[in-house]
Amino acid sequence: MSKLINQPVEPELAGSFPVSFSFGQNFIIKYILKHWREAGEWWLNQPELFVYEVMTNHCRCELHFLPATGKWILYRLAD
Amino acid sequence: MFVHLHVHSPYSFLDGASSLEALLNQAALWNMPAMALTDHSNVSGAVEFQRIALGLGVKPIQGAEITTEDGTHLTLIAENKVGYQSICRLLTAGYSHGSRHQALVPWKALAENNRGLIVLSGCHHSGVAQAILGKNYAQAKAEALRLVEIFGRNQVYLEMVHSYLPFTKHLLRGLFKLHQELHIPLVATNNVHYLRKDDFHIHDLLVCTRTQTKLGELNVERPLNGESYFASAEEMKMRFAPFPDAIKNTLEIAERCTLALDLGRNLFPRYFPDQGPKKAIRFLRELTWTGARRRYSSISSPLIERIEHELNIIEQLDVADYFLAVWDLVQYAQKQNIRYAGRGSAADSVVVYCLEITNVDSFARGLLFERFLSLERAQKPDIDIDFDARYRDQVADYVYKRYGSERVASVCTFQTYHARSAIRDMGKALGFSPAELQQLTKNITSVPSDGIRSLLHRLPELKHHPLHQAKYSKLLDYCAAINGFPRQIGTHLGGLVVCGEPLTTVTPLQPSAKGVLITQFDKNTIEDLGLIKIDLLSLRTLAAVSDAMQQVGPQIAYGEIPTDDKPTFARLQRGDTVGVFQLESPAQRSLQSRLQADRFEDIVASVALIRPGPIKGNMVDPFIARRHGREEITYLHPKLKKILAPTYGVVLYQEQVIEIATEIAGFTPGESDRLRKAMTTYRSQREMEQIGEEFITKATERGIEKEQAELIFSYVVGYSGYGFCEAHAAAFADTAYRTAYLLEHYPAQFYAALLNQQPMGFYPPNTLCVQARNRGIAILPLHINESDVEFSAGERFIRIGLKQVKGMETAFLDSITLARTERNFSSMQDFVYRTTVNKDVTENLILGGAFDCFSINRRALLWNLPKLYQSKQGSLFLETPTTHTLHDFPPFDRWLKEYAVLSLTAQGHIMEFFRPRLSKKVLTTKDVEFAKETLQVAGLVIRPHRPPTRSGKTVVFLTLEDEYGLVDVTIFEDIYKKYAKTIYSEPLLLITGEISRRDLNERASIVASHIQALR
Repeated sequence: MSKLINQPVEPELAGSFPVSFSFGQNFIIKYILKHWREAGEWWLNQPELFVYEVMTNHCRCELHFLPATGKWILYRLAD
Repeated sequence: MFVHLHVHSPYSFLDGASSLEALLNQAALWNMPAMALTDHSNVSGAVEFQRIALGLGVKPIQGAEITTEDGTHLTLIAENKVGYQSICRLLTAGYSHGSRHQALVPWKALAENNRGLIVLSGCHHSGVAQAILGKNYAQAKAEALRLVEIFGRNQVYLEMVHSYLPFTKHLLRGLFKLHQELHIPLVATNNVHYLRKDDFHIHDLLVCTRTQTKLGELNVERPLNGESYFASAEEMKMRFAPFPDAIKNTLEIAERCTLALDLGRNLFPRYFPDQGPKKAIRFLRELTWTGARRRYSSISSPLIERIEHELNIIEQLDVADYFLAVWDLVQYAQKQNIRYAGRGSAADSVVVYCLEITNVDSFARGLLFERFLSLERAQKPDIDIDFDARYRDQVADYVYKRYGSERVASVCTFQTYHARSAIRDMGKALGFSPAELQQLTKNITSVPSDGIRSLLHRLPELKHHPLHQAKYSKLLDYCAAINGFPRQIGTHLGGLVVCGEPLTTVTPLQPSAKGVLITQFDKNTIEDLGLIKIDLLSLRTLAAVSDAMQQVGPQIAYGEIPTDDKPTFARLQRGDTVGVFQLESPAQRSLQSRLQADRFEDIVASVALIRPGPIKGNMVDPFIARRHGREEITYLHPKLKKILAPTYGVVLYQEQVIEIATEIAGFTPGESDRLRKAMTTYRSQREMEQIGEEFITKATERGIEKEQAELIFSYVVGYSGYGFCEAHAAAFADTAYRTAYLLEHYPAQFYAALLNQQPMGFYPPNTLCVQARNRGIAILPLHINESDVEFSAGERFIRIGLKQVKGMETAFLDSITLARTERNFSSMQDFVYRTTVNKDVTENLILGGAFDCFSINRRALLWNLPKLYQSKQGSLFLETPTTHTLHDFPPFDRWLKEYAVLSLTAQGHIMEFFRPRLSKKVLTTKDVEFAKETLQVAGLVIRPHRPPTRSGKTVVFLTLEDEYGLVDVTIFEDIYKKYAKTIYSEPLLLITGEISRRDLNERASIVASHIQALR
């Protein structure tokens, strides 16, 4: 099961990689499962997106980073 | 330092979004010592790549990304010349094993052609990567070891592409594990498909075009992100920080590679293979002088000087063998009585004329040999020859047999993006509807796709064009970005290359749609590889000429047709030229009547005048006015007088452009030729502007005022898009005049020959019959005993041939002619029983009138036909028809049915049925000449068309045909919009309009004001 969150977060970084973030509680990233980049629907002016699928101390999460604005989003939580 | 070893250019056909020039410029800017080009299954960009790279000081490494027979990818790098040859052979094998759309290289071929190659294991579509991604490590290991086994341990690298895709981390980890276990070195690439990250959009649009998807639609081949750009060394080092050896190895590979492509060689086979080039030039000299003595009654000093000049250039360029090879094949054609005519710039050469390859006396015409061949350009000669269409392939077969099929192939062409095709493809991918795209391409002429904005601002009639709207701004940017990119590979119409060694050492060969093998280099790059193209074109007109001459008999020899025949010129002056090569279109017929040609030069000019360039450049009217002394002949500069005097001050021929550039700006022959090429192909607005700046700078340095130089250049540019050289026009004019002569003096035979060669020319066969009939030639109906297979002619008649019947097959014709050798058919049933013709075709023969000779009407014959066929199958007894009492079809139905099966009729014109119903006010085409002001005329619509016009507005031209002849009709945009559906859907029209005649001599035509269907 997964839950769509799509809320901004402000993770702590090591270099360009997230190591922890808060969303109701503190999520500590144990390791990055997958990391990829998406162009998005560029023809609709959607911005480019960096996707991080991470395993935290609570659950699997999908974090999005928007390089154009420097913002992070907690996109999804999964069991 | 880092070297990109996996780079796609636009030659990956809709999978590469940056030009070679742009990619290499960036490599040079970043001091990258080398770059590899690895397009999908081709090396088409190799020559251009090597030329640009060497100019920029970047080492070009040739390669290709291939697909193996199991669908996996592999990146091949040519370590040296041997490696390049291996790639050529492998791709050839791949196309032979796969299809013309997809080369699938068999593993066996890889094992057989493994020399000189460095192999990178490939992108994520490779066998190794697919196995890792499929979590089958053992398979990945086996795939990697297979590469080592085939190519050798030192030749194989595991290719790592850090593409930021969801599986990248897993893939890189798997490759690293293989490296550790198998000790196969790693190499980093970025599988480059475009220069900058921003260019990803162009790439995505091209992939959408390739996969026929819209941007909003999903397709597995569309990239997820824009990371496949030409990344800097720093960025690549950062991406591959955990694998520094993968970066270092790119340099190691680059250092190992040597120049793989041999350019500037002469690979044309030696005419005397064992005796060296001197023997060839001696023999050519001998043949030329023998020919000169045959061609010229006396050999003057200037002629000697000219021939020697040409022979010296031929010798210095070491191309005598090529001339001898072409001479050899026209000798073959002569011996086989195959009619031919050389054309193109080769007709600028006296040597070629003496060898009887062309029929244009370039010495007498003062033509510029340098347009054809010059030491400065040092380009290879290019001789184009038209052959009787029936035997062109026979001549090509001779070439294959003479030199060996592994040494001969057809030349490819690349269909490249221009304005309209770019708008269509980019617009489609962006999701515009077909109707919207039709609006967007409307009135956009054939300009480079980076020149659309300039066109929109230049032409007043495009002031309100939808492309001005802001929402199309991006579309125009995308169009500009793909300007000149090759879209797909095709086959050159007639170009063959002949090689002194097997062609697959120079170019991969792939099958074309027609099934012949084509090179992967087009006519522009093939010669850099040392190959020379011979153009063997097929021309139905020459087949018609041969056919007509055969029917006329020995009373006239084609070569001895008098060149000053008054009745022939009188025919041209009347514009009565339906059937004449190059001079039969409505525009040409109108020009002929206005020009009042009375000498061969007028015909040469005619051929050159009715072209998009002169029409759009408004050259036709001034030319005619000056030709008749109605307009003063002026020159922009006194120096132009000598050049333009023969064409009354109008720039008409390519040779004149070269002379203007030389005389005014002091251009060298090479520079002038660049200008000529830029103008005739008009591929890039930027290139034209650059040449313009050069022209103006050089002209002002030579004392010409800047404004005047600009004016002269703009005048020359107005000529853009026009592609005829004078020699070419003269070669066509020669055939045009001779066909006009045949039409004048042997109309029955000539029309019959034209009918036999259909489809050809501008008009449908029925129009040719109407024309013949109006000259008093009877069109005799189809006759089962009298008709030949083809149309046959006597002095005043043409008999319709059996081949004309719809559905007729060679086997049926053979069966009919064989039965007739025994005895003529005596009845319908005799025909059915003694031939193998099927029932459908026999029905068509009945409707075509073939059995009218048996005095049973067509309807009755049709009624009886099924019984006859049943009887033929089931009974030994002949059944006699019993229904003579059936009435025939009404005359109009009979006419329509005959037309439907023959595409023409012997029964007269359809308008004869309508004429009695028409008001007396409706004129016939023969009365139009004498009409004044408003009139009405009715007829059959012939070839409505919308050619490009000077104004850019839509103007429809069509011809109306009635029982008396033809009249041309012009329909301007406002009327066209009102009646477009009627014009294009109704076969018969009643048109009201005004008489139009630009001068007294011109044939009357009609400008339509009202159009209605005639039913």
